[in-house]
Amino acid sequence: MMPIALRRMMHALRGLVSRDRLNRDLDDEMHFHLEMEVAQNIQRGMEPAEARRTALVAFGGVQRYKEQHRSERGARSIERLGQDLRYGLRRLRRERGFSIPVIATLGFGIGATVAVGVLADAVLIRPLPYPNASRIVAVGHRAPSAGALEGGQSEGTYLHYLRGNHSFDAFGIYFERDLSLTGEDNPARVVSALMTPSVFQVLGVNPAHGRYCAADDDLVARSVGAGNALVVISDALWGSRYGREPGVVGRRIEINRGGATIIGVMPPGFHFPRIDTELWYCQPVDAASPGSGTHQTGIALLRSGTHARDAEADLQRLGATLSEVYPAAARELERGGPHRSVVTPLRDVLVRDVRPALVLLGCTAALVLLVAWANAVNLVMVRSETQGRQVAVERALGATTADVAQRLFCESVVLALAGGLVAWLIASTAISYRFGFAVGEIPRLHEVRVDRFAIVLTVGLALFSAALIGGAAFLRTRSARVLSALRGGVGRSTSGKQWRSTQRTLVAVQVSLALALLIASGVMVQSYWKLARFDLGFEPSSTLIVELPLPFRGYPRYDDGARFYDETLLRIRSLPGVVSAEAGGPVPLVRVTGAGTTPMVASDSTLPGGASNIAVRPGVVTPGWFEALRIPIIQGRTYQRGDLVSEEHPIVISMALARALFGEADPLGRRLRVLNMGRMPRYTIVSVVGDVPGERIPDGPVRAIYFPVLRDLAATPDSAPQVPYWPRELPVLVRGSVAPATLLDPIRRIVGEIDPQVPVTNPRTLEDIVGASTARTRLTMLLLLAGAGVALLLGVVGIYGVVSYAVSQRTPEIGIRMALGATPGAVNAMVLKEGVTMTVTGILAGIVVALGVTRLLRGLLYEVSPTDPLTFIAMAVLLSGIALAACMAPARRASRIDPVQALRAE
Amino acid sequence: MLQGTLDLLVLRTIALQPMHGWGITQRIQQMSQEIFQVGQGSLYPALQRLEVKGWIDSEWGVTENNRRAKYYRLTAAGRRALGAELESWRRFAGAVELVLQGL
Repeated sequence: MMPIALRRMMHALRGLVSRDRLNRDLDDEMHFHLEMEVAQNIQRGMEPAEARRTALVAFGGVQRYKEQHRSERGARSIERLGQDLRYGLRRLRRERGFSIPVIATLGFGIGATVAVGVLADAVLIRPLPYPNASRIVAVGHRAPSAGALEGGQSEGTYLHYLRGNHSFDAFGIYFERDLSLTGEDNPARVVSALMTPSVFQVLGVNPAHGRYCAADDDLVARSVGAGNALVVISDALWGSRYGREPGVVGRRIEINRGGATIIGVMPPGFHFPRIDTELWYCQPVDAASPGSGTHQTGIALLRSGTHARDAEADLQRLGATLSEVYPAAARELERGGPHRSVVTPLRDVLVRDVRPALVLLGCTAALVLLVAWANAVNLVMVRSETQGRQVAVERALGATTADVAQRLFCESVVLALAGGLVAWLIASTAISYRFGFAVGEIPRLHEVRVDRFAIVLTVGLALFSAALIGGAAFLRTRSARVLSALRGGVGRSTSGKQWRSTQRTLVAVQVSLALALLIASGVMVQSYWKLARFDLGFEPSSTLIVELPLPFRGYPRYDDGARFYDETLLRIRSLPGVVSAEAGGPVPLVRVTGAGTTPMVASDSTLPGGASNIAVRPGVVTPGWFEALRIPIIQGRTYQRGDLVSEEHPIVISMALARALFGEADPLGRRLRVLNMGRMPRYTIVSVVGDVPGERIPDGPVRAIYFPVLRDLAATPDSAPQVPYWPRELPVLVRGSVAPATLLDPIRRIVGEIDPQVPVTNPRTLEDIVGASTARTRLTMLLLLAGAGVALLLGVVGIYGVVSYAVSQRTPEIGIRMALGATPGAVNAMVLKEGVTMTVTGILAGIVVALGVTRLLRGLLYEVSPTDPLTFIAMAVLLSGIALAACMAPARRASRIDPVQALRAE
Repeated sequence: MLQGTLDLLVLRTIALQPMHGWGITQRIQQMSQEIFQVGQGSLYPALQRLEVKGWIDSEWGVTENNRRAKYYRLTAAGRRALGAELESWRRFAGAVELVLQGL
C-alpha cells in the first residue's frame, strides 16, 4: 500500500495540475448541500427566503471551509509558492539598493565561471571531433640528452613500427607544408598536409564527396613524379576556389607545377592538423627506399583496450631492431643522441601549450565565484538583520517557520535566477567573442560554443547560489527573537554579535581571495611588461613581409631559386619608397611550418664528437638580410659573392649559438659541423650576428645558423652547393619609407611579371608579428586583471558594508561612549580597528592562497618569479590602503555621532 | 462531538451503501436521534481526510430527484480500518463506562 506521505504528495500534485476542476467540484458539492438544506427548511414550513438564509447561517463560512479544504488537499503550499515568488519579485524591485548588488555579484561570479568553464571544457576536456578520438595518439620520439629535442618519424621508422607493432589499428605519418596551386590565373598558397593514406583511417572521418586516399593508392603514388598525385580538399577550399562546383571530384589540377587529381572533398568542420589546413596530399611511403628525414609526425589509432603506455613499450621494443632493418633511418634518428618513442593522446599534444593558461583562468574564475558568494551571503545577512522586524511580525501573526523559510527561499531564487541571467549574458558574450582571442591562437577555439553544458552549468550554479543565500537568510532570521525584534526596532537582537563575526569572517575571506588574484595579476603584468619592452634585437617598424614560395618543379636547382629572388629583390628595391628589400627566414617570432622546421644539431668539430650537441634553428638569408632587419653584425662580415663556392665554407651564426659552442672564446675562424642534415662539410665561422628571439620571446635568444642565398652558381647552375637549405620558400622583407601596405600591389605586379605561377602570400607587417607574439600573454593578463578587479571591488564593498553597518548598529553605544567622554578620535580609531582586523586577517590568509595560485603561473611568466616578493608586498600594501580608505567614511560618520541624538533615538 | 468519532461515524454510515455528503449528515442526525448535528464545516474536511488516507472513494452520481451529487463509498482499506476503529472505540467506551460505574 502507498504510504500516506506519498499519497498526500500525489494529491497535492493532482490538486495543482487540475486545480480549477477540483475547485469547481468543490463548489458544486457545496452548492448541492446548500440546496438540500434549503429544500428541507421549506419542507419544515419556512418561506423560501427565510429557508435560504437559515441554511446559509447553518452552513457557516463557506470561504473558510473552502480554504480548509484546499489546505487539506495540500495544494495551498504550492499555490503559495507562486504567491511568494511574485511577492519576492515585488520586494526586490523595491529594494534595489540590496538586490542590484547581489544580482551583479552573482552575475559576475557565475558568468566568469561559466565562460571559462565552457572554454576549458571545449579545449581541454571534450574529445577531439573525430570518431574514436579517445584512441587517437601522437607517436613521436624524444631525445632526453639533446635538451629534450622532440623528434618525429621518418619513413623508415614508420615502416618499421607499422610492420612490427601490436598496438595500433591504424598508423600514419604526415608533415605540414604550404603548397602552391598553380596552373591557373591566380596562383594560391594553401596550408596543406602531406600524409600517408592511413592518416585518414586513423581520423575516421569520411569525405563529403568522393573518397579519400586508400592504402592501395600506393601504386599510383609510385608515379607521383609523373604528375599523378592524389589530393583531398577542404570544404572551404572547394567553396573559395572551385565555386562548389559538383564536378570537382576527379578534376585535374596543378600543385607546385606538378599534376594532381582531386579525389575527395572533406565535410565542413573537419580540421586537421590545423584549423586552416585546406589540402591533404596523399604521399604514400615507397617501401623499397624509405626516406630517413625525421620531419614527419606520427599519428595512430590505438587498438581498443590498449593504453598509450603499452604502445610506448611496444615501439620501444621495436626501436632496438631499427638499425638492422633500416640503418639509414636509425642513423638519422640517433644523430642528436639516443631517442625513445613517446606515445601521447593527440588532444594532450594539441593543447599542451595553452593548458597552463586555461588552468590559471579556471582558478581565477573559481576564486571570483567564491568571492561573489561570500559577498552575496554577506549582503543577504546584513539585510536579514533589518528584516528581523518583518519576520517577527509575520511570526506573531501565525506564520510558521516553514512559511518564513519558503518566503525567504523564494526571494533567493528570484535573486539567483536574475544573477544567472546576468551571468548568461556575460558568459555568452564572452564565448561569442571568443574571449578576444583570435582563432588559431588557442587550439580548438573554434569548437567553443554556447551549448547544453553552458546552460546546465549556469542553471546549476544559480540554483546552488539560491540555496546558499536562502539558507543564510533563513539561519539569520530564525535566530531573531520575536519579542525583542518587535520591541527593539531595527535588529538589535542579542544574537547580532555572533552574526557579525560570521560576516567579518566572510569579508576576510573575500579580502584574502582578492589579494591572491591581485598578486597573480601583478606578477603577470610585470611579465607582460618585460615581454613588451623586451629588446628584440631587430627593428620591426614599417616593414612589410610577404612570402614568395617557388613551385618546386619550376625551380629544381639551387641557382634557379637564387636567381628568382635576386631579380625580384632588385626590382622591388627600385620601387619608390622602398628603403631595402631582402629575402630570408625564418623571421623572428614567426612560427615555421614545413621545410626547415626540423631543428638541426650543431657541433664544434674541434671538440670530441657529440660532446656539445646543440639544437639550432636553421635560417636561409640574402647577404643584406641582417642590415634590413637591423640585426647588428657583432663580429666579422656578412656573406659576399663567392662564399658559396669557397673551400672554407663560410657560415654566419648567432651570438647565442657562439656562446653555447665556444663560451667566451673567440668564435671567428672556428669550425662547425651540422649533424642531422646528410653529408655536409665543416663550416668556418666568419661572422657572429646579434641575437633575436625564435618563435617565442620567453624561449630566449635563438641559436641560429644562417645559410646564404648567393648567385655564385650562376655560371655552373647544375652544381650542388654545400648547404642543406636552398632558397625556395623565402619570406621577403621590404622596409619602406612609406606605409608598408601601399607596397603590396607593386610587389604583386613585379612578381607576376617575373613568374605568374609564384603566389604572393601571407602579407603582414613586422609590427603585426611582434604584436601577435605577445597577444596570448596580454589576454591572459587582461582576463586575470579583470578577475582581480572584480574580486577587489567586491572585497572593498564587503569591508565598507560590514563596517558601516556595524556603525549604524552601534550608534547608541557610541553615543553613550561619547557622552561618557570618549573623544571623536578614539571613536574613529575604534571603528577603524574593526576594518583593520578584517583586512589584516584577510591579507595574511591571502598570502597563503597567493602562494598556491601563483604556482599555476609557472610556465606563463617571463623573467618574473611567481613568488616575486616585491609584488606580494606591493599588492598587500595596495589592498590595505584601499581597505582602510573604505573604512574611513563610516569611521568619520561614527566620530560625528551626536550623543544627545543617539540617546534620544534610544 | 469527541475528536475522532466523526470519522468513525462517517465510515460506519457509508459502510452500508454509498452516500452523498448531505445524506451522511441526515443519516447521522437521524440515527443519533437528533443528538449529533454534523456541520458542513467539519464533515467535508473529514471526508477529504479519509479520501487522502485511501479509506473512502468518491464519484459523481445522480440522486433519486435527478440531482448531480458526489457519492462517497468505503474502500477495502476503509472497511478494514472501520473494523479496527470500531474495536478501539468499543474498548474506549467500555473503559469510560467502567470508570464511571466505579465512582
